[in-house]
Formats: sequence, structure tokens, C-alpha cells
Amino acid sequence: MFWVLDYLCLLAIVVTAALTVLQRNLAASVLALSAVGVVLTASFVVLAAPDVALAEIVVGTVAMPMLYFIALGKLRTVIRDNADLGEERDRDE
Amino acid sequence: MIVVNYVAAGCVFCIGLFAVVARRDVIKIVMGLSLMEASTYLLLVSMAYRRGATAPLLSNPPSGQTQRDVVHGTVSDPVLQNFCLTAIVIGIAVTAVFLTLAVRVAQHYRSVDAADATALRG
Amino acid sequence: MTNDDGLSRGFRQEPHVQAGWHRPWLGGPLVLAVGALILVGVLALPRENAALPVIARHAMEIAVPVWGQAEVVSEIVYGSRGFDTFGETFLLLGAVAVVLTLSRPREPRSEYVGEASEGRAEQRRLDPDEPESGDERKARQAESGEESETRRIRMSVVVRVAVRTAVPLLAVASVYTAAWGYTPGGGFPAGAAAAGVVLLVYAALGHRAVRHVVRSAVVEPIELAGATVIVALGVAGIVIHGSMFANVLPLAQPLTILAGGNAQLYSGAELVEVATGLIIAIFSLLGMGRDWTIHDDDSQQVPAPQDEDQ
Repeated sequence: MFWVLDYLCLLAIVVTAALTVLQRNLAASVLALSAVGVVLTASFVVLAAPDVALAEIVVGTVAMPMLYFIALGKLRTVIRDNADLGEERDRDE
Repeated sequence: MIVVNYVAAGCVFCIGLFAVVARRDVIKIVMGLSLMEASTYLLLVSMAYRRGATAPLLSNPPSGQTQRDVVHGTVSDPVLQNFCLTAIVIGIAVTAVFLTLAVRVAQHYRSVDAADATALRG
Repeated sequence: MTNDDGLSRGFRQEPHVQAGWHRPWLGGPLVLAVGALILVGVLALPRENAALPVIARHAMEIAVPVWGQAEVVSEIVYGSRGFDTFGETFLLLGAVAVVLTLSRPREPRSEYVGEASEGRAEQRRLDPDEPESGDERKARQAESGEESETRRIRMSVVVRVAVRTAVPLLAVASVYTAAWGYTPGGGFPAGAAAAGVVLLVYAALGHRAVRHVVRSAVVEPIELAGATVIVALGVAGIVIHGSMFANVLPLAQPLTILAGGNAQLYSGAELVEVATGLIIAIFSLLGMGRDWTIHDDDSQQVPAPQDEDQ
């Protein structure tokens, strides 16, 4: 039973990691990175490491996506953004 | 059987490395680095696991065991879990610095394309 | 230079919109070679039937007698290997300092070049009573960033009520994670959760709700106070017992809030430092302006006229 859970979590980790790299849309790949963190947390719980799981869930859902989204926002006002989410800005903030 | 965990961590490392090497967007390169760090967390915690182990907690021993049984029984390795915690903190620090650098570079060259940052080209 | 679409001339499309991979025929074999090396190395690692290392067994045995701690990982993080945690916390402090330096705004031209003082002197000479025109006021406000959109936006009333309800619970939960020594957690997740609380309030209620807290005169001294407490604990360990981060506080009964000796003070100081450090990093990233203005355009630089003195 343990190995079933473990291998399922591993599969989810590899799939979400591949999704992060293959996605063209930057916001979607940031969310996939956050999903990697969440599935990593589940895997840590299965592997009997509760302390590490707590640290990883907090980092992976609060701190990491926040930094990435702020960086994306700072870049969107510099670069003219045409196709990703259909936004278009002709002037900066 | 835990070898599958190690191999999966190696796969995630290679996926992250491929993102660093083969993508031109600076944010994607930073994401590749984050993926490589995540693979090391998985590797460390997998190395800490022992067969049939319980978490290294003495406060609520599993049913039928006392604290003494847990201390001398099968637990997962707490020292490697400490290393993993340190690695997580280092990961967030490195990501913050790298992202700030990436945003400054992109602002200066007015493009997110890493191939446009050609100031040092000989 | 004066066309109305002047911004788009200097900018490129995001490359991933059109182009896909960048030389995958070069990157692919490299990554495969690294992957093969990792595979060979990983097959030689100890498996799950290995015995527990001596350090780990020793840490489990001294957890309750020497440190009064029922949670072995916390005992290692804040007790036996307190030096590693000190290193990681100060690495985070260093990273926050780097982010703060890199996202420093452009120096106001008045102070650096002397234009504003010259301009003031000239204005006083010509007409001391001339009022500030609309353009001048708008330019000053734009430079200081007071009226920019990102500072003013609040969300809808549902979000605001939900945030006002959730924030006290989350704040208490983060302090709880750091305060009890025998539950998993410790200072770092608590600090990141506390920073998340401040960000939640900022996102939902706007800048006005956090402007008294998120000022450099407030958060920077608090962060360094947390760092000082950690250093003081380490030095006290050296002075009293001869080794850094040795236990200097009295041990309480295990499974009570004061259990763990040093651990509670250490993890509280780490909560303060990590929370304020992350707040500084995130808000300085948020306030990062450009290092150029609309009218700077490098491609149009005219070479300076050469002086011919001779």
C-alpha cells in the first residue's frame, strides 16, 4: 500500500514537472511549479517526514508563486504582451 | 524499491536542466533552477526513508509502542530531514535573488529573451 | 522618436510565443549524458534496508533527556545542529539584502545631479510666487509613485470580509507553529506564513491597510533584532557551556510549551526574522521601478561633439 501511494506521488511529480517546462504560457507554468510543490508535500507525508512537508507546503504555495508572479508583473509592463492571455498594454503603469 | 524514488528525482533534475539549457525566456530559466532544487528535496527525503518507518516524533507513539520503542525502533532519518529543511530555505533565497536579477536584466535589455543580452559577447 | 506608438519600437515579443526550443539538438544529448551519470550514481546509494546512521540514533536518544524535546527533527534543527540553522537564516538575510539593493529605485535626479537646487535658485530669482503648475505636480507624483494603480486597488466586499475573518486565524496559526516545540514546524514555515498574512491583507485591502507596517523604518530594525537574538543565543552558548548554541535556558517538562530549552526562543526569533525578511524582499520587488524613463532611447544617441581646443 505504501509503495502504491509512493509511486503515484512520483508519477504526479514527474508529470507536473514536465508540464512546467512544456507550457508556453508563463502564468500557467508558475502554477504548475506550485503544483510540483504540493505533490512533493504529499510525497513527503507518505515518506514519513512531516516537518519537511510543512516547510515545503508553505514555501511552495506562499513564497515561491508570489515571487514569480511579482516578477511576471514587472516584466509585463516592460514587454508588449500579445498572445499569452490576450492582454495588451500599449502604455506602462 | 526506493530506487524508483531516486530515479524519479534524477528525472526531475534532468527536466529542470533541460529547461535551463533549451529555453530562452529568463523566467523559464529560473523555473528550471527551481525544479532542480525540488529534485534534491525529493532525493534527500527518499534517502531518509527506512522500510516500515514511522516519523521521528516521540510525542504520540503509534498504537502499541512506547516512546522507548520508537527511539530504538525503525524511524526515518531525522538528520537528513534537517538537511532538506536547510535546502528548502536556501532554495527560496536563491530563487528570490535570481528572479530579481532576471527582472533587472530584462528591464535593461527591454526583452525577456536571454539571447538578447549580448553585452559580453566577444 | 515622437510617434505615438513609440514604446513598441524598442520592445520585442516574448520569444516563447513564437520560438519553441533553443537548440534542443545541443541541449538534449547533454541532458541525457547528465541523466545517465545520475542514474549510475543513484543506483549505488543506500537503500531502505540500511541501518540508521549513528548520528541519527544518537540524536533520538538524547532528545528527551538532554533537550527535553519530544520532536527529534526540531531538536536537531534548533539544538544539535543549531549552527546549520544559523547559517541558513543568515543566508536568507543576505538574500534579502541583495534583493533590496537590486530593486533600489532610481536615485531622484534632483539630489544626484543638482538640477533641482539650481532650478530652485533660478525660480527664486525670477518669480518667487509662481504656483506649481498641473504638469509639475503630475510629474512629481509620478516620480514618487504615490498615485499608481498598484498601490490603491482594493478588492470586492466579499473578499475583504473573508480576509478580515481569515487573517487573525492565520496569524495565530503561524505563531502556534513556532511556539510549540514538540509539533513539527518551527520558525521558518511560521515566518513564511506570517509574511503570507501580510501579503493577503495587502492584496485584499490595498496599500493603505499595510502602509504603517510595511515601511523600511519599521521592518528592518525588527528583522535585525531577530537576527541579533539568534547570534546572542549562540554566543551565550559559547560563554556558558563552551559550544555554540548549547542549551542555556532551563528545560521544562516535555510536551509543554516551554519544552526544548533554547528551541522556543530560537524558533521565535527565526519567525520574526524570516517573516520581516520576506516582507522586505517582496515589497521591494513590488516597488521596483525601471531604471530608464520613456524618453531614454539608446539607439538614438548622438555622439558628443568633440572639443577642439588646440
